[in-house]
Amino acid sequence: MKRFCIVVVSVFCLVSCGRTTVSSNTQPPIFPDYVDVTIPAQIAPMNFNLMSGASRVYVRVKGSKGGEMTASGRYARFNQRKWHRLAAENVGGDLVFTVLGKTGKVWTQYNDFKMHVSEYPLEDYGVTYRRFAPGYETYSRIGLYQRCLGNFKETPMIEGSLIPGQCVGCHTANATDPSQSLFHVRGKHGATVMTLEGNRKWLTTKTDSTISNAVYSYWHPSGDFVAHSNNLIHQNFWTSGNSYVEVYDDASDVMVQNVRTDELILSPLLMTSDFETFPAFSVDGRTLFFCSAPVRNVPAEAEDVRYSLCAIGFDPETQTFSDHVDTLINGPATGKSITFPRPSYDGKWLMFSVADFGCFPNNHKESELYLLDLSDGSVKPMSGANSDYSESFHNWSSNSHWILVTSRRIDSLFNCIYISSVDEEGNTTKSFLLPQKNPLKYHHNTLFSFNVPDFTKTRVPVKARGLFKEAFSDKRVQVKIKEQ
Amino acid sequence: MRKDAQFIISSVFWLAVALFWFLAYPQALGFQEQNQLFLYTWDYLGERLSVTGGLADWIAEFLTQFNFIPLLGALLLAGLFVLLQMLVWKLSGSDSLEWYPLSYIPSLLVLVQMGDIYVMPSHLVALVLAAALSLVYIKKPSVWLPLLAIPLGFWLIGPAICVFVLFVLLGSRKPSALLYPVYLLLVVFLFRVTLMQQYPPKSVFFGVNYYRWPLTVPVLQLVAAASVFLVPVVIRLLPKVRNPLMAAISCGCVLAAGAFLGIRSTYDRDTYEIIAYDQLVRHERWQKVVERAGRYQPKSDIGCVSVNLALFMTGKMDSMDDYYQCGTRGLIMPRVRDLISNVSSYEVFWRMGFVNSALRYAFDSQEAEMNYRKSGRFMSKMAECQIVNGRYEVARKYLDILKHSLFYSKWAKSREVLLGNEELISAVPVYSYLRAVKFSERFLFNYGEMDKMLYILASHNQNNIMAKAYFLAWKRLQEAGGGAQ
Repeated sequence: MKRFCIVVVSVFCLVSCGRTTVSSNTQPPIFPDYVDVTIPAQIAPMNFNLMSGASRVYVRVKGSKGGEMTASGRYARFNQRKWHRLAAENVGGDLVFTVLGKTGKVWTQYNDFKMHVSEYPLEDYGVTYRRFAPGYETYSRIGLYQRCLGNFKETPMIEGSLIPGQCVGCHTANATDPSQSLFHVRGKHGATVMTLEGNRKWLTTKTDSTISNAVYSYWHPSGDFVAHSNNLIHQNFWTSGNSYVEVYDDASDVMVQNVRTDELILSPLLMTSDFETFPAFSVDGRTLFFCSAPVRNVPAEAEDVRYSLCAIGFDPETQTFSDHVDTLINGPATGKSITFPRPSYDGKWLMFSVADFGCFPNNHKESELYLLDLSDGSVKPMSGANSDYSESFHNWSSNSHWILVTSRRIDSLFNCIYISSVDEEGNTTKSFLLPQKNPLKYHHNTLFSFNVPDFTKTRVPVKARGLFKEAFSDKRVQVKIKEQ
Repeated sequence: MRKDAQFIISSVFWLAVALFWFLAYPQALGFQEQNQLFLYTWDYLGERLSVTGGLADWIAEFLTQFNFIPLLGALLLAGLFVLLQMLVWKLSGSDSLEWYPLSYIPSLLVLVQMGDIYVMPSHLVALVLAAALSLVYIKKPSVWLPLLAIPLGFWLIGPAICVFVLFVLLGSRKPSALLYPVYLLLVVFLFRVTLMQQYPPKSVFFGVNYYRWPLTVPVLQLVAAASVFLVPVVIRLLPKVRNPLMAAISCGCVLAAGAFLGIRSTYDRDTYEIIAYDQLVRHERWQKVVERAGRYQPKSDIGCVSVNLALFMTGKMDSMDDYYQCGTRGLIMPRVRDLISNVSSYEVFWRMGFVNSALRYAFDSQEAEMNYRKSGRFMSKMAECQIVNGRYEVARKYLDILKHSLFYSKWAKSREVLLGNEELISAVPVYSYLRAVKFSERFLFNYGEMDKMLYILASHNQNNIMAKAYFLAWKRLQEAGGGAQ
């Protein structure tokens, strides 16, 4: 009966509002591009805008396994409850979208398109990310946020307004578990802020034996260690062309911190004169992946810096490293720079960025994602997730069947978060933009870019109270070097 | 007769303040205008209302946008000063003439306070709204009004609501009225731990948007707010005098002298001179910059950049030595994180063909706003840089935002039609010139090797006489010992 009413009302709307309906033998020009994407059943409604200049849009969604729903208005905005019900009903099937746009008094019907509802669930609560205006050295509104994947609710974890003049970034949780996480504060009151089972501590990670504070971090699966890179990071700016910013390191090393004793475990193999950076533990915690590049005279030779993907053994019991480093992919030999290794949590894959040079693929248009099969060492591009623009800052969902990645594909400057599915064979589906209530308004009318996104298994508990005082008190725990 | 006199005095005050801004400090109006971008959207209103003091801020920004036309901006801003004075006078409940000039004290204090370029007009608006609310209570006291107005008022106008609470205390005269300040404290505390968690306690207690720099609370801000309450109370208490006219004139003279001295102490000449150059550069009034620098030139890198640019634009670069010079920094400054240092240099970069560097400095100028405002001026420049670089989708994003403003909308629409149309872009002389002279080689910017970059730019296109002139000037100043620092 309900369905009948919807059909009657819809037909009435079409008949009364428009006098003519014409067919366009084309795909509907929608933003974001959701045509033929694969979505998890748990995702928020995939609202979209029709970019044909239509004043109204009417959409009917029909599930291949049953159920249907409609949306109409200035843009396609689906009822959240009905959307979740329809998606859940069609797991492993397709959602077929019929789209009509009204221009003047004429309705145009486009070719139907599909979204596939994946059999892989996305059980994580949401995503965390840093949001700020992309550009150069100065930042005003900056903050770390979490966003629920099942709806559109975004909440700040910490905003720059709470600690004025300081930069916040690189929220890193232990395999998407926010009960063990950290983020960095840069500026006069800088620190690494670590949360362990609900307790927050402010650390100074720079020591006399290390070159800087912690920069890129990755948790050991046990939660007892965190691998950090120390980087003397610089930004420089291209005088011409369409890439504006280049980030490079003057020096960089890798170390591991015991978070229970706040001691740094060092290895001369990870502190050579070469550039070592981007550490990441394997799922068993016995291998530390990282990237390494032969030292170059930067910035003059910035375009010659190419990183290799390397690995070193790590024994958590004895807190020692193995006596040699394995090079898994030789960057200089391939003429590419391999960065940001991210092992999947099921131990099968290792995802990484490939760019022409440098350590910051985010600013490289050519940057793409690749997948290394850890069982046989084979490498393949993640075609579904890649585009003609930069892809970087990727991470895995807790069940290792979904990835998120930031891409500049919308307008070449503003990074947005895309999600893709990865199957048992490592095939990647076409990525889709993280849904928003009104996507065009959200992405076009704001000047925000998103970086360092990650899935979060549960909602991150926000404890803003006391943060200001803790930050400005400058009371810090000084990490020490572990004696060998 | 008395009312007529008051009306005339208020009108004279209005005109005097308007002329003060329009004639003496028009650059201050331009500075305030260029550090905000008022948008006619619900989202913009919502964003403002999402923090305490948001309504006052929104009204202040609405009014400040008219500074784009300095005379209009000056008249509107002066109107706020008169409104505050009139409300203070009404709050005093007095009808005698002798102490009437005292009602100007809060307005004059704010005028003096606004010599600090980082004071936001929203403080003045908040005081006006607080005084107006207080008057409503004085005229018609009720128990319900404070109960409603304290939380709502604190959210909409910020801590200036304290003025209202003081008048409620004064008007009520019951011991139970002492609960109102407690109520206010409770409200502030509740807002702080719920909706304002992401702001430091100090900002919540003293105002998020009264001052451009967070965590800074100028003493004059507190004094001005206190005066809105104290002055009416004092006027009520002052006795009648035998010669009211003489008392009024004496009072007026003392206040005028005090205001003069206050203005002299807070309106820093060098700062305003630098901003004046920049505003003249913005409107390409090169000859005015040169004339102004001929009369007085502050010893500042930023001002020097503007003066040297004006000298080049007027064909007088040979007479650089007749003006204050501070080495190569006076030609182009290294990037500095503040609201004014980069602006003159991006004007130089833009005209010379350093398009990416102009974009960088413009972006950083906009993002230097600690209170998250955007800027019509800087965003327009960023859009132009993206057009010259052919990044039309990014330019479109900026232009679409500018289209929601009042004074940049028409310009934005005129640029929008250019996007993706190479023929139309070539027909715009500035863009086609910049595309011809900008760097063709790709290398990383290095301020320490500016001379080499200028040389490359000058040799790339012989028509780029500006790059050539700046290269020669740079070398000369470098040899004279004022190299890049």
